[in-house]
Amino acid sequence: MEKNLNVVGKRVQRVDAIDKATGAAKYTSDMYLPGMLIAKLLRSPYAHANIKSINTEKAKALEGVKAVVTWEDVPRVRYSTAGYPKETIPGLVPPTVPMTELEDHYLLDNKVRYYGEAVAAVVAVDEKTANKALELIDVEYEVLDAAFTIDEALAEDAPFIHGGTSKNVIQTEIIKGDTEQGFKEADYIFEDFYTTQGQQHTCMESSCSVANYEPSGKITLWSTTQVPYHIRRGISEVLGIPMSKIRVIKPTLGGGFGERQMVQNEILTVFLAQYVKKPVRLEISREENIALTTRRHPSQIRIKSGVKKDGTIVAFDIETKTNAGAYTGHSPYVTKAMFTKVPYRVPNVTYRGNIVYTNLSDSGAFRGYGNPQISFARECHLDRIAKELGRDPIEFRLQNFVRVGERNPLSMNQDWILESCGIKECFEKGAKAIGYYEPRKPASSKNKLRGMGFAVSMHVSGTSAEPDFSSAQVKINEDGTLIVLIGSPDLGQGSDTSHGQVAAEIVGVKMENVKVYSADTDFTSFDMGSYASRQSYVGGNAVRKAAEKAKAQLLEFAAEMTGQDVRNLDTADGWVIRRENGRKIATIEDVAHFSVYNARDRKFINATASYQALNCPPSFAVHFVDLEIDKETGEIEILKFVAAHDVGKAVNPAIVEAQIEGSVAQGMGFSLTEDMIYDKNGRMLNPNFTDYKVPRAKDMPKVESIIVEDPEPSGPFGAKGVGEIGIAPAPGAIANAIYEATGVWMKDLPFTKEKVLKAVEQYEARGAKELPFKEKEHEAEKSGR
Amino acid sequence: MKQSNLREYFRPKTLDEALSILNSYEGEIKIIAGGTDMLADDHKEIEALLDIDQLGLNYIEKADGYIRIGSATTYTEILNSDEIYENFRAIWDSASVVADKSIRNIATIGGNLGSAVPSGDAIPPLYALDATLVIKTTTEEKKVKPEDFFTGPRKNILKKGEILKEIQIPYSDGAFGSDFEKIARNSVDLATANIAVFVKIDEDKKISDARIALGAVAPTVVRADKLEKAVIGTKAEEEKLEEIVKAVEDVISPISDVRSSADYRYKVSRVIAKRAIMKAYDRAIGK
Amino acid sequence: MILMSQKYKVNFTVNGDQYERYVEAGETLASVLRVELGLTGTKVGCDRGDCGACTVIMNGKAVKSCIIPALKADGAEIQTIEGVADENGLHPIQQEFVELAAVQCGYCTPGLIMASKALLDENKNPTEEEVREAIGGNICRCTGYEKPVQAILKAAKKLNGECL
Repeated sequence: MEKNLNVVGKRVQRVDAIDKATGAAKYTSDMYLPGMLIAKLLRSPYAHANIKSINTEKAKALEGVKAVVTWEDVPRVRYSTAGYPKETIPGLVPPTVPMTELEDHYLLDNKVRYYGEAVAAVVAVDEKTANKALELIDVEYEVLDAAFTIDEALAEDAPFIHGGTSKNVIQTEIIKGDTEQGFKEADYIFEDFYTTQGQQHTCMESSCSVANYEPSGKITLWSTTQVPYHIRRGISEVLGIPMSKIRVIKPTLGGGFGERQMVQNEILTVFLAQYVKKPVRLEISREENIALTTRRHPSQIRIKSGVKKDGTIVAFDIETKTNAGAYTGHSPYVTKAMFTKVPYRVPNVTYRGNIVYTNLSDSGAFRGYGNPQISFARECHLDRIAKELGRDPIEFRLQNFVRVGERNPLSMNQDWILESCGIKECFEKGAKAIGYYEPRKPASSKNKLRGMGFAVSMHVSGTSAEPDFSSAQVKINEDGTLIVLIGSPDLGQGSDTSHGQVAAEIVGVKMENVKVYSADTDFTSFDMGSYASRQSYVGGNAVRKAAEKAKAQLLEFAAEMTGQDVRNLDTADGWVIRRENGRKIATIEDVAHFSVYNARDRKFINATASYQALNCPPSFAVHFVDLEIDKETGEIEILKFVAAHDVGKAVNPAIVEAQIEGSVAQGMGFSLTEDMIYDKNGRMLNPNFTDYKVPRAKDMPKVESIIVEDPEPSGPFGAKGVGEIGIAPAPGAIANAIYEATGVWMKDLPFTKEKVLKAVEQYEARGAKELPFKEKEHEAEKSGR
Repeated sequence: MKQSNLREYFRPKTLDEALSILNSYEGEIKIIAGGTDMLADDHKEIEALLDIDQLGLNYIEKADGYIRIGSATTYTEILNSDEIYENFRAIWDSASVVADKSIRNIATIGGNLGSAVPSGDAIPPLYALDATLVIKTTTEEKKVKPEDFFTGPRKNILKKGEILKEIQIPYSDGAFGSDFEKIARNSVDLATANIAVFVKIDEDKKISDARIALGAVAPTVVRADKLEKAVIGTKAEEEKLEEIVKAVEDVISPISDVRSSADYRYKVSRVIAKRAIMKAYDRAIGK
Repeated sequence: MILMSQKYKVNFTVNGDQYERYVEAGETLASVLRVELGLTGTKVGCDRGDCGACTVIMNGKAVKSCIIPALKADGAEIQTIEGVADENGLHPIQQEFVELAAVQCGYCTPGLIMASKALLDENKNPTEEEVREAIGGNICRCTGYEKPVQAILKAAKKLNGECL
């Protein structure tokens, strides 16, 4: 029987909201420990160089300087910045790539591979002294040739930056069916080429690590991390400290978006604290954050489709080249992830990824993890096909869309089945909200052009390469209140609140009586971390299981206390009730008190549960945009943005909307204004918010979020992931709308005013004609075989 | 600690005191009012700051035939002035799009002149509205026109021992209007290109006088004298303007940088010239 | 000691309390509030006046404390996020941020609240456009601004005594 839900599905107050709205929440960057020293990094002024010598004597002699360390002082141990354990690395990349190419990073090295790479670290009594000391370090470099773009790094005479399956490249592929045969069967073949730029997360709290060294050898690290357990493992492996002596705490965290799904400066900070035997803080500046932390992979995407006359897509041939930067990090995973996030049932697929090393700081994980790039290319390409075939673009997508009961497209090594999919409802509601099937409204003035477009995306609920894993703990205090402990951090997205709701719903307590804590490696239980939109589904299932176990224990005590048969008991809203009629028989508070004070066999109700994922249910979204273009300046004004999302079940609709609205904003920034621009020496030219243009309040249109709930059978209360997907459709939706307005396909992100103005000029050069659909239909015939 | 070599901070109460500090200080001293531009980055060369926010230089006062705006007047104070809104609209419009509101609360019009960045939004209106800048030294008050004040990107004629005291702008009689337009990458940005236009019209509603100044498209703000002449006698008809605004290209020399290509700056300079002339004209005829 | 610089006395009122401190010429108001006074609710997100996380109210106006020399605040009356809630509880803006889930990572939240409080202190009935203008200097990377804008508008109505 479907039970009424009291907490799940409700807009309950976020557990962290009051602390954050009053300034009381303490972030890593708010940690000022007594006697704390400040660490700063000396950064390379060359993009590619051997370090011939480093003289630190003058810096060390400066009063107030406690340590200056270089590559000669740190352990010569390679590690992967991705943070994943060794065991999970090989399954994802061709076995021909040796582990040494994946574990390619030292704390400090005798070679630099990008402009701004750390060369030395200084620890001093204050920031001013540390900065002064940096100026006193003399480094002799042997400067090497460098390559910054994909094309430069692939050139015959490119410098050797990094090994892979060949010079500067790791190649990877996925093959399904027989693509050659597929293209033979196709009536039409379409091919397009797209490029995307780098994007920076710009978490509002810059990365910060504070490490405290205790005389016993115990280290406590506070860090802006999404992966505390991976960090603990990394510290242990690189510095040779047993895990029992390392405590990693994630305080309130000022954003993540994937930037912190890797080893940042945590291991180095711990090393420095151990070195000087004092608390050390290493915080990076906004400039370092924008220029040097990981970015979304710039990419080149060639996509070729074979399509039958009836619109069935029979073959895809997709090749990507991604700019990985100087170190491997997340690149192999991001690249493969691009290929699985295709929601169409295409029988023959060849997918080739080229991960290209360059002399830029490494690219890495960023909300969507490859999805925004591939969704942009695919959705523009499919829109072109639909339009050239004279098909309704929505029907064309639906015709080819994966269906429930078929193989889950996210399955790599598993045989997961797709068990839920609300895409149709997303289309219906989204199209209605934007008026997709209404007659188009005219532009507001003669100097404007107007167009509408949409794009679809599919994303994960946890990692899909292997079954994901999480664990959680639920404790019931003697007054009947709950404590939920989970090792995957809340980065601000609200997972603590959603987890609390799941636990409260199951145990049957009120939300205000739930406290959620994430994450502290000494006290929370092991978890992979916060990424891959895994919180709602994987973490949520671990919390569900722990809460179910805690509830079972609670009901045993309730039965003992009231003399009733446990099989007749349930809980709701703070009460133990009779299952058949809901009659209240005891408060949970009394039962909890009874459990530790009065029971025959007294016990503290405390349940830990692990969850290994049974599936990786995809979430789906379609975004519609109605926009106007200023014909004279190329400025785009978004008149309306509709984002329809199938989330399985919105555990907290306010939090789900917030995820959608925020990811649309990041997607709009990616589409229109955000770009990472480098000079010929690989130095970023716009490493601040003056010139790295993230959207501001006046740049954002109203975003209408539509939540579709097609319950996922394996999800907690039907829930699946929502955190990342909303960033992926925006570029395609906007490009498709620009096409409707101008008849020009925008293939190079971002769509700056300048580029849009060029599109308008093409439109005018053609005689400012309306959409060239009709003409294009004939062209389709020609481009067919 | 952002200003790594800054050692001294002076915040005098009178202009005389300020001038005497400037004259006697031996190291690198920099004048700030709001300080919003100066404090954004580390200026390693600066050893001392002279903060002029206590000198009473924040005022907007009517004088005989002109208005006096103290150099330490904030943009917010300008935006709160009906006098400026009514008579010197291009200044008001530019103040409304400088940076963002919490910067405008403290940043000053004099600061924009002191910084002398080519994209400074407050600068083109001073050219278009025929402003005079008053510079104070211990011995005299000098008056200069904006054309003679700015000498290059981040460069002006101010020497040590001189303080920009106020800006004087003449009132116009008859029917006139002014406007400021800006192209930027998003809602809070430095200008990719900006422009200020002032026009007067005659009894036939034809433009009888025009002053046009473009920013961010040359080392300093530039007057578009050819265009000024070309609009005279027109009624700012859009079709006519589309042709004649091409004249801006003779005076601008934009560069390509992270904000824009030179090519785009050329194109949009024409567009904002057209739009600003039309808007200023509409204001002149009371539309 | 080559790095020792002269310290200057600075007096100001923060959240109603009078403080006297000695600071160096180059110290910013944000750093004095955070490090000297322990008021870490004021965040530093860019340290160059771009992002607004450090917004405080100084003499009635929203300003960015990371680009204000501490010595410029001499004699000023300053309100930080810690001084917004009073003995009656949360300020309506804070209540609405909490109520509408306008808070995500929360790092920009104090700045958003201070910028919008300065607006509502002088304009009890702002339009949505005015709200967006008032927080134009505040970057939020989580929310897309929709919920914060709605929270501020709702708080304004509450302050006007409108029934909601």
